[in-house]
Amino acid sequence: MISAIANGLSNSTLANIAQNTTASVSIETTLKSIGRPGFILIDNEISPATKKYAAAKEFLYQATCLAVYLALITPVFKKGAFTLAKKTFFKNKPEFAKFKNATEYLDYHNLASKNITNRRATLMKDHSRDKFLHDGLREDLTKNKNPEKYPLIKGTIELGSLIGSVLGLAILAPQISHVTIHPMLRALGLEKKDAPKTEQKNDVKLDKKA
Amino acid sequence: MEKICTKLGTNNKPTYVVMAIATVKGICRPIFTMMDKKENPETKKYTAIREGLTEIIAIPVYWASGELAGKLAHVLAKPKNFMDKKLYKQHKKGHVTPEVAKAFDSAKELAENNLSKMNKNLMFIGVCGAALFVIPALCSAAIKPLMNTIQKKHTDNKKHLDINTLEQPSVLMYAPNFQHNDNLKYLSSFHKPYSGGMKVGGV
Repeated sequence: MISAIANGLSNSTLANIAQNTTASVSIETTLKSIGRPGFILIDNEISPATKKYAAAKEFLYQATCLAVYLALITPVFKKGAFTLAKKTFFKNKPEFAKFKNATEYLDYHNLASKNITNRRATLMKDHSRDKFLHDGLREDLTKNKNPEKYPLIKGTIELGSLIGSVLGLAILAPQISHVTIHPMLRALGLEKKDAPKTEQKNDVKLDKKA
Repeated sequence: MEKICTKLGTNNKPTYVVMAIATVKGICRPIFTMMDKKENPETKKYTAIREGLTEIIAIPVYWASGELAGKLAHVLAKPKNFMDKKLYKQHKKGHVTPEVAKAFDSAKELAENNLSKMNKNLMFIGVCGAALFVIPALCSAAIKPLMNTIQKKHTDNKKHLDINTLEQPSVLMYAPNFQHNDNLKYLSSFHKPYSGGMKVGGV
């Protein structure tokens, strides 16, 4: 049992996900969108209507965060960081010249993280036969047990993703969700449309603080 | 810049990004809430404090969950978890045949090589666990009492300033009685100098 757990935890794919800012943030935001509304729903001290409202609001907030993150932040900051670093900060670094863009580098990094047998098998497949033929990259991948991973490039991409994640999830997403959540709640029938004040007085008030 | 990038490239802990997000969120979300002009000031204040508190709880929990889970890697990354049980038992008993020695060496190497991977993976699992269970549970358990305490303090302060609840100064609860005041009868004979009209040059 413990051996199986140890083997599972040594999985390279999981390690790649854990080290990848975008993947880990996406997974955590998905988990938050399940966990937070779930705990609101099991709270017995809140009225059912308020629970439903608060849980839906929290779920929609996290879903908006995830959508903003995946749609805007990942392509802009991840790819943008590589291009910006290549053209400005690390213009003279030879490793940046070896890769055309962030996608090519990340593809290379994924292969470099695998063990040599799997790496060779992947590179022998039809769709990978023409990959990394320049700058001795393919040779490094197929002949060396531990090929160069170019941590500076990886770090640059991760830093871009980190800045993008912070800006996206802490600044941009709350603004977007502020505009979109209330119409969505109204569409779901969890929030009343703006009615005249006299009518509102008769309605049961939701505890929006919950 | 180069040092930061290289460090992130070699060792990007899953806790870095979540802690960075929680810190900025803890500052920005309450500010945005307080800037909302449509919301009632009391609700705004309540929501902003609650949002701030959530992130204050989240930051140390993320860190602790990640680090504690990561520590488990040292427990799990042992040769016995990467080799055949029978061979390991033989190794433990001291029956070191070439086959056992080879298997043990290979398992030891595997354990050493996998230690960093296991550490990262466990950290990630710890952070995910924190996001899914620990933080929502802690927030549910701690925020309500904290908010109630803050609100109670706030209402107590308000009560002290409320004119309706302030201790009233002692006032006369009866009408003054002038019936037995002898000075009153002289009031009618009190000489009142002429003061009507406008005169120039004194009385």
